[in-house]
Amino acid sequence: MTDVEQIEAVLRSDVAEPSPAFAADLDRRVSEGFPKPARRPRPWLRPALAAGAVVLVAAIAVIGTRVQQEHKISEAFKGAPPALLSRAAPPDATLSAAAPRRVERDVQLTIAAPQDKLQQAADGVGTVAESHHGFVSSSHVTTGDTGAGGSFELRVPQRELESTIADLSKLGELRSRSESAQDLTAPYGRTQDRLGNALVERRTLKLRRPTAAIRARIAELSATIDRLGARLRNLRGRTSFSTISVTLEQSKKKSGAGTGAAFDDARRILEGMLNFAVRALAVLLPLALLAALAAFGARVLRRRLASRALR
Amino acid sequence: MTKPVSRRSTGVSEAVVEPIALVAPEEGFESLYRRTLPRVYAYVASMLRDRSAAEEVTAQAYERAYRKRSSYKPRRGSQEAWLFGIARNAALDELRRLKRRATEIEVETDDDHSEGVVLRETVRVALATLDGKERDLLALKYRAGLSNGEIASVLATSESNVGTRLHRAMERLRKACDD
Repeated sequence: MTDVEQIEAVLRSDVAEPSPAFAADLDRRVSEGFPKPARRPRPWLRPALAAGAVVLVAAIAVIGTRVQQEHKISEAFKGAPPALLSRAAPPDATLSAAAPRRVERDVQLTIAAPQDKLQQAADGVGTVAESHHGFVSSSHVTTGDTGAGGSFELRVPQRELESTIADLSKLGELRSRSESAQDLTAPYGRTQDRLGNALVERRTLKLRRPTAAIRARIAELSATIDRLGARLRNLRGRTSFSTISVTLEQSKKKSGAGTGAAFDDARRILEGMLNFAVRALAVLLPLALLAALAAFGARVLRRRLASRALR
Repeated sequence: MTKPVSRRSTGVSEAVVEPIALVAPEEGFESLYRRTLPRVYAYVASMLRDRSAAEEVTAQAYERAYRKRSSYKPRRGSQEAWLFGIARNAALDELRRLKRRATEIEVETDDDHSEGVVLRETVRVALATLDGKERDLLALKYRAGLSNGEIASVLATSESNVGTRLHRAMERLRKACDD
């Protein structure tokens, strides 16, 4: 019977040895720090890189220009709901693509300010409207210990809308903001066309010999022109000015300085932290699980590959 | 360079194995290379059974180790375990790529029929009857001269598992020798 120790001795002694030539070569490579073979000169590389860079810059410039154009268009519909935006596409083939879009925009803001600063905020609404070439079309302010606040309706030029909202937001704490938009390009265009046609027809009829029928038609056209003109002015006013409805309300009193308030604050902070931790765990746990599964899978795969190679 | 390497472990059981000195982290790569080349080569050759492939893979393993030397973390095990892990992966890659296992490494045939030579031939034949994993394990133990802890580090398993598997492999080898 073969002794285990004898087998072990054989296993230790019966080993292949590296050839002197191989050992000497590896010695040299180790002492030289495994130098990498010198790269072959590639004279085409620099021109190719330069050409690639030029193509890249040109592509970026083209894309940038397109994005800028799209941005300008989307700016006109900023804040509009998606359904409205889809409706904002030209519905009429007769409308010129170059014609500016006529979009009516309404914004509702709720701003909260402390009781002692409520009056200041109310005054600020008018100042902001004026500074942006707009005006306050209506206002209602309530003062008193309970239910102090106010509501304002502002009309500001559409190009000043965003900056006006930004300035109004500085008057207090912006509680809510909602916007609506309606594309009136098509009705505006149609009204303009109909007005033009009516004017041309009236001018033509005025050149003809006046008969009773012609006079009646001219009178009818004049009424139509007046109506269409008023409608056009109305549409122009609605689309060149935006309406901002501001609701000013009193912000809730801050927590007091007593021990009870401190406990309340502490409870709220702890609740907040707990909420955050739960939400973070909801994200991190599945990720950790996936990572663990991936690591386990990689380990199993490595082992399988190794055992397949050893088979 | 081709200095004989001192064999440090004397048996399967860790109780009788001399502890392998952990390599100081600051030790230079060249020193590690000089100390391990014969064992790395012997281990790779035992896996590939092809002398030229073994030389190629040994050189490749040292080059990989040299380039990745900054990634070595002492807390994960000794430098030798790290190096043999790289050598094992390189050898497995080569095995997968070239399927060179069919080629037996040239071994000098001896007309000597002394007891030692007969035993060596018996062990070689018996070794060929073991499966690849067992041969790999025995090669790490006896050709590479690693401790059970270092083998566990190379195979990403526990030290006790390595001890058990080594014991079983030696038992099978002994039985194959007797057969």
